[in-house]
Amino acid sequence: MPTSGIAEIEGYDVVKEPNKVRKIISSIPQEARPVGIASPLEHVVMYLTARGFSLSEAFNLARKSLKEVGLWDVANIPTDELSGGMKRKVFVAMAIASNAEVVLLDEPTLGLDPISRLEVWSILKHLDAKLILTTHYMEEAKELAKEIIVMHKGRIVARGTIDELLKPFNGKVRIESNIGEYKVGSNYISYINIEDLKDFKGKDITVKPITLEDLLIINGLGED
Amino acid sequence: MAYSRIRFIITFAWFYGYTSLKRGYVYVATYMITPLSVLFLIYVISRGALLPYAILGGLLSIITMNSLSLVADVTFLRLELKLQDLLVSTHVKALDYLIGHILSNLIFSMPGIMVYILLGTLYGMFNAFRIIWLILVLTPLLISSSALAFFISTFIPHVRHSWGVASFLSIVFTIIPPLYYPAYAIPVIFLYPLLISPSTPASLVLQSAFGLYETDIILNYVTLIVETSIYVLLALKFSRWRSV
Repeated sequence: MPTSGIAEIEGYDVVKEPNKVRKIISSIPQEARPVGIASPLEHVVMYLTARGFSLSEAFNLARKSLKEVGLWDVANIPTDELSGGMKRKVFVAMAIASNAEVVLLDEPTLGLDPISRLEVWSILKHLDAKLILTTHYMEEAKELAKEIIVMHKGRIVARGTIDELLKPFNGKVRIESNIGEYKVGSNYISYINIEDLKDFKGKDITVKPITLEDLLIINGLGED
Repeated sequence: MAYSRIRFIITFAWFYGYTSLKRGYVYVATYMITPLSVLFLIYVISRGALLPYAILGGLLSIITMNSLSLVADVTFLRLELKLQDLLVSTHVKALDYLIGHILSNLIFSMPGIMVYILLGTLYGMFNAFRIIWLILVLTPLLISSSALAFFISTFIPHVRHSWGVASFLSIVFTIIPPLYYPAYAIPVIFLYPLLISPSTPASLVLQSAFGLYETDIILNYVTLIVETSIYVLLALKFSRWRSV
């Protein structure tokens, strides 16, 4: 239970109106793993009945969502026999099938191979629900999010669209060398205007475009 | 709402109990091996004289052991698979989850129950009166042991502890109480501490109903029901459900 502050989802207080909140949300925890002896179809149907769907609705929605995530061919195979990516997709299928207004996904593509990740992104992009996604992959945030909230030690340190967040870097590039402003691992990182690049001609530097990672670097969020 | 909760319970039993039976049948042999080994030992040592105790004890053991294995199962589902996290954001209540597990357990225990029913039938132990007592005793035993296991499991911080706790409780609740041996074989004073295990009053009732030991059947049955109520209450009121 929260010790202070207020949290609301779609105007409902999560502490005072938990039943209303549960009705509209679907939440998939980060470390959730499927029960090995049960199949993807059994997982999705069980989850949907937990959300109050009838059995026929649950089977129909499960079929639809499993087809959407590409698991229909293995729908009746125990999840123990599936690859890591397929196991993760079982939870994406659950979230899609839930028809929830707000879907909370914690690291939905953690451990997925690049192709599976692209597939999941494509599915999530077409989801009707409002999606609250937690991720450490900056490219994922860039790809999927309309609004990004950067949190550090439980506090919001930056919030906005990708353009707003990267505004301080407008006209700049990132250079990595053995000296610089921010130390990341054995590298030093600095941000310079593109027109100043000529000053570094012949020096041992690596030039990279700005990404969301740089927001974390200038805020010192990579340290812990 | 009540209907949707029942639907979830049945679906969960299908999801966890039926699939365990269908795809994890090797575990049926695992839970059968201890009671059947004890039955074999008792048969050899007593030259068949104590076989009815071994049959009743085996039946009670299967229900008790499988119910207590919930300690490990529920802990694993909560800590490793995060199934509880997934369900607490739905309408499912701790009671629904518990009943779902109890029903799963019953389904999973069915092959073992059938084997012992068959053995009892071959040995001529059953009649209508005894079958009624069997149902009246095994049902609260299943509920109480499962509720106790559920309650304990929600407080276990690491999965590695859960295997040990489940094994320990299984032995303490099935080998030490008078399940496989006549209740008159130990002094009454030792029976009192053993009453903490619901298998003790359950065994006393069945040994009495099957004419193996003379005792106050009603008093022991009331003890079993009171214990069942306490353990269910503990599971529902004090288990950590949403706060984990």
